[in-house]
This record gives sequence, C-alpha cells and structure tokens, in this order.
Amino acid sequence: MLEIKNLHACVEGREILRGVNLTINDGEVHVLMGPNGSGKSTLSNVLVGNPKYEVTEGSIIFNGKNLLELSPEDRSHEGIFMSFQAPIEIPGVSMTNFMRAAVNAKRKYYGEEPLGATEFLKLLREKRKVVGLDAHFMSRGVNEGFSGGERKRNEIFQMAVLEPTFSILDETDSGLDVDALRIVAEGFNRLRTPKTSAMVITHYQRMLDYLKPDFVHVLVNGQIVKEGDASLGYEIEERGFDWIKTEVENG
Amino acid sequence: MDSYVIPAGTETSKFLQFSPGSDHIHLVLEANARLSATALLNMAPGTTHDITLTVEQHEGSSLNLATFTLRGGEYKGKIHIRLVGKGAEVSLAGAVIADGKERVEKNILIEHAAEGCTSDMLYKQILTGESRGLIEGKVLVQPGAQKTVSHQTFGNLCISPEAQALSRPMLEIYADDVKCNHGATVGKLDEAALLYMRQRGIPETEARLLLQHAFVSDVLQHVPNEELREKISHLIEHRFRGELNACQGCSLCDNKA
Ligand SMILES: Nc1ncnc2c1ncn2[C@@H]1O[C@H](COP(=O)(O)OP(=O)(O)OP(=O)(O)O)[C@@H](O)[C@H]1O
Ligand SMILES: [Mg+2]
Repeated sequence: MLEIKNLHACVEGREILRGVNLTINDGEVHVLMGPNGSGKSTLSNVLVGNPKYEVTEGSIIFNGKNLLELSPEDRSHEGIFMSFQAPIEIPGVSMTNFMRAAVNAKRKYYGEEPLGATEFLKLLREKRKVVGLDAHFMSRGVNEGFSGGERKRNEIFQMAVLEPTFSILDETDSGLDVDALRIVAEGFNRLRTPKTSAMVITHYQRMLDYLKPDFVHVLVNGQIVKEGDASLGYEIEERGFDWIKTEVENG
Repeated sequence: MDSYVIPAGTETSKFLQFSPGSDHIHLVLEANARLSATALLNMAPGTTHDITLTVEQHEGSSLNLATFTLRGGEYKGKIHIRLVGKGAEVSLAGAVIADGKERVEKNILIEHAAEGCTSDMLYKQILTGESRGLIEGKVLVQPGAQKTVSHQTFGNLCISPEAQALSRPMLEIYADDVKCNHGATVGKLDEAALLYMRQRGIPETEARLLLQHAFVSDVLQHVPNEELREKISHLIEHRFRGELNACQGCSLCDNKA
C-alpha cells in the first residue's frame, strides 16, 4: 500500500525528517511513537501534501503511484486521510456543505454523479452513528466552537464518510475523555477492513489496547530507530524513550 | 417614491423591491413596531442605478435590514436611518459582490436623534475583476442623544489584484455619554482552511468558493426567514460560480412584501 524510502523533509529550511523508511501493507495498523518534536506530525503532513513541508530526498509510493506528484485533493481521492492533531475551524462553512463538497469531489474523480440530497443526508446520518456525533453539529461551521474532543470525534466522522484506504491518526486519542476514546477507537475498528491500513500516532497505551497494532515504530530525531510489535509500545509506556536513545547512541 | 408605514406595536417582515434606474423607498416605523426587511439587487452589467432608502424610527421600534448586491452595474445606494424615538434599534447588514467593471458605492447614514438608541452596521464586500467598491458608513449622534450605542464592522475581500475595495467608517458625535466603536474583519482567505479542505479532497477552486461564501455568511444570518435565506444563499453561490445573470424575474420576486 505505502512505501516510504529514505525520506528527508525540511520545514522552514530546517531538516526534520532525516531518512525515514517505512512500508505499510494492506490491512495493517502501524503505530508511530516518539518523543515530542521527533517529526511524527511532520511525516504525516508530508503524506497529505502540506506545502510547508518540503521533501528534499527520498520517495513515497502509494498503491503504485508517486505520491509526491499528487495534489492534496488527489491524495485524498486516492484514499489517504489524516485526522489532524489540532483540527482547525472554518467559520461560516457548514459541516453539511463541507462534507457534500468533499464527497462529491471524490465521486467526480471516479466519474460518478453527485450524490442526491436524500442519499447524502442518509450517508451523514449513518456515519454520525459510528462516532456518536449529534445531528446539530452538521449545521454548524466546520469545528466552529467545537470542543477539543468534539473536533477529534469530527475527524473520525469525516474519515467514516470518506472511507479512505489509508488513514493517519495524529494523536486522535489526546483530548478525548475515557468514554469518547472508547467510542472513537471502536468506531475506527469498525471501519477497518483487510483492504485498509493505518498509521496511528499516539503517546498512550490505551490506544494500543483498543487498536492491537501489527507494528510499532519509534521515531527519534527524524529517523525510525526501533521497530517491533505491540509489546514495544507497552515497553515505552513503562520505560520512556531514553533507553532507546541510549541504544541508538551506543550503536 | 414608495412609502410604507409599519403601524405601532406590529411586527412584520418585508422584501424590498427596488426598481432599476432611480428609485426611493421610505419607511416609517411607528412606536414599538418591528420590521425585518430584505433587499436584493441584481442589475444588468453596464446599467446605472441610484437607489435610496430612508427610514424614520419612532420610540422602541426595531429594524433589521439585510441587503444583497449581487450585481450592481454602476450602482449608488443610499441609506438614511433616522432614530427619532427613544430606545429605537437598528441593525443593518449588507453584502456587496462585484466583478468586471462594476462600480458599487454605498452611502449609509444612521442618525441618532433620540436617547438610548442602538445601531449596528455589518458590511462585507467581495470584489473581483477590476471592480470598485466603496462603503461609507456614518453614525451621527445628535446633541441630547445620550446613551447611544453603536457598532460598525466592515470587511473587504479582493479576489483579484485589480479590484479595489474601500470602506470608511465615520463618527460624528455631539453627545458625551455614548459608546461607539468600529472594527474590521480579515480580508484574506484563510490559507490553513483552504489546505484543510483540499486535504479532504475539495478542489482548490471549490474550496475558495466555499470560503467566499463563508465570508458573507454572517450577513445572511440577518435574513430571518429560513426559506428566503436559503434562496439568497443559493443565488450568492451561483453568483460566485458565474452562473447568475442579471435579474430575469427570479423566484425571489414572489417574495414581495
Ligand atoms: N510548520 C512548522 N513550522 C516550523 N517548525 C515546524 C513546523 N512543523 C514542525 N516544526 C518543527 O519540526 C519539529 C518536529 O515537529 P513535529 O510536529 O513533527 O513533532 P511531533 O513528533 O509530531 O511532536 P509531538 O509529539 O509534540 O506532536 C519540531 O521541532 C517543530 O517545532
Ligand atoms: Mg505531533
């Protein structure tokens, strides 16, 4: 599905990613951990085509296509979705209009007619249920006045509507209360199929409990320095990152 | 000139229909009358218009006016509100959309001539092509009009570098116990919002349209009737897509009065 090779990326002239290699196959859930500022969000932003992040070396192949040549909108149409660490608000653009534009743009990309009004509203209703998002949010501006937790829930709602094949969850768990986390994680699990995969960024063990990832990668200073299965995640929760940094320093 | 009186103590809503060319509507709101009025201008390019609205508001009356200038040709609009009775309230909201060589000029005067009146102006312009838009909004507080509260907000969005938008808030105050202020809203499309939308698959042109529409959404909120608000919202959308011609007897004309 996704093959990242020797990826280097800069933000404002500073190199943040320094040779990331990562392969994610169909159906797999990968967890990405790492200390604050190690480059996890940077990697995610590069994957969804944020122009602030400049790729200086390396390649990203997504389902056989050179991802770096695609516009952000085409990446979305091709099946990539990112749940943002800090989703922004768009006052004055209602959730309904926003989702309609997104859904119909994707349909157009695949040569399909726009969804009729009734069908579209039915789709929204169905998908709201996945994350327990109330109907009244649909008439409000995108994230306008939403609480931190509501924004995160709204991200997963959008994911449910757009049905991506590859999802990036950037600390979707932080800011959620215990119940909301369970609902969102269960919602995410319900959206999983043998054809979809995900890269989940988290600092917390609870997410590992819910998602049961296939792999855990540790990003330190712009490079993946350690990889393992879910047990590595639990070990980090217990021991922190210092022992990994020491391991790296001692070669 | 057409004249209408909103009788004391009544509440009504009205669609103000201005005729192309030169036209003048005069409204009188008697004591405690409440009026919600909406006006829509959609004039053929190259035509010239001179349109005036004058309003006299008596004690405790309340006016909520929303105007939409979707196409103005060469257009001069004048609004003069006189708050002559104690505690009268007025809220004016307007959106101006212009392109090509259109010239839109709006001249608004709210005259506080009695104590304890409140006024609010909210005007937004979205200009493209080589169009010019000028909004002059003046609040005049007469001697003795103590406890006046007035607020003005103006926002301009120039889509093309050749378009020129100007708004000029003005205050002329002859009383000492007043609260008057004005503010401006950001005149740029939010780049972060654009990117967020694109990352959800919305093409850039479409995303820009949504943000332009959002820019005038607070003006739309001044249309109290939901059905009418939806209709105008659609017209604005068509306007941005370049699919709206000058008024050819659109469905809105059925909403007269
Ligand atoms: N848009 C930006 N402008 C300037 N610096 C940036 C930008 N984005 C990231 N950086 C810098 O790049 C480095 C990596 O940031 P990034 O957000 O990728 O870290 P992270 O691993 O996601 O951390 P956290 O766990 O705190 O979310 C940081 O030093 C950060 O300050
Ligand atoms: Mg981060």
